[in-house]
Amino acid sequence: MNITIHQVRDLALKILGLICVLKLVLNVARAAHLATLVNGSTYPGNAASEMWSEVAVTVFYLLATYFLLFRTQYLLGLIWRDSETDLESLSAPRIATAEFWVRLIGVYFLIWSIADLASVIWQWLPGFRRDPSFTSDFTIINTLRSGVMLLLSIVCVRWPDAPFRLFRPVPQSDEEMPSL
Amino acid sequence: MTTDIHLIRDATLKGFGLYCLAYAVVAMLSQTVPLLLTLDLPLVAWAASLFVNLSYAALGYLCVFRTHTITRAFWREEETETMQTPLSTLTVVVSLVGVYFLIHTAGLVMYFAWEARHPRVYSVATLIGTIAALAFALSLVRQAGPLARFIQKRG
Repeated sequence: MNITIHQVRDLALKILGLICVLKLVLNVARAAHLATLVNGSTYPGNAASEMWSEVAVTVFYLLATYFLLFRTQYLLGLIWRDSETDLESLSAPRIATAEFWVRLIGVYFLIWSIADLASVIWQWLPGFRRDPSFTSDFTIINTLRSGVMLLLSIVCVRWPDAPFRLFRPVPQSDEEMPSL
Repeated sequence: MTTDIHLIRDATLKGFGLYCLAYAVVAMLSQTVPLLLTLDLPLVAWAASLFVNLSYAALGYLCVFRTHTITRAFWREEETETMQTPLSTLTVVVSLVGVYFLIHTAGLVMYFAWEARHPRVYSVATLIGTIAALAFALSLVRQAGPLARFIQKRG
């Protein structure tokens, strides 16, 4: 494997830059939506201040995108001060298996669903119900969603080959399935 | 097996692009189409949702099917022989994107199934759209091999 850690860092920062492009798009859409609400009376919040806040975040993402995608070497120098010619080879056998990545996806949803469950579970407690007609429905919906995601994430963490066995992917003729 | 940085870049960009494409399809099915059916919502809300999804789809298309254009723009290097080497790991990348959206949409189906107890145009359309998105995620896992071959030919 003739890959240097420097190249991997460079790639990771560029992928982060592409994620910033998506965040930028989301913020532009939100700012445009809020701009149409500034003179309206139906919006419950302060549309103008929220719009300017979205514009500020958009400018931040614009700068982040530029630096991450086109000034990556500058950022690499700022974050990691080791030599650019450091040719330390990347040997990470654990990340070279599909099971590792399925577990990682499982852990991501595990954290997400536990946090979500924690945020709705207090509403099951009678003392915290301010408006039972509203909160019961909302609580049931969110508990169901988080519960299903929690269950599936546990399956992914505990049995990482389960998605491949359960859904029997059609293998390519020249390769076996789960190894990168 | 010799792994080159060009192959890793190719796999990573294609994986990221697949995520963007799958996100666009899932969001289109579970948000944008149901929003269009709910006529009392302002048009700008629907347009903003469509704009975001089309942007995801455009970036996904570039990363998956125009990977060399992206790599040439970011890494100004000579194209080497290894960049043309078929990528054997793409099947797994497609499967992983499928697993991610499978968990995500399974949660959404439960959410909208409960909401559709009081049938309205929006709740029923969202439930149908989310089930379609779940089927799409499932097909990513099931058909990862043929999809990877198709992407490799086109990208």
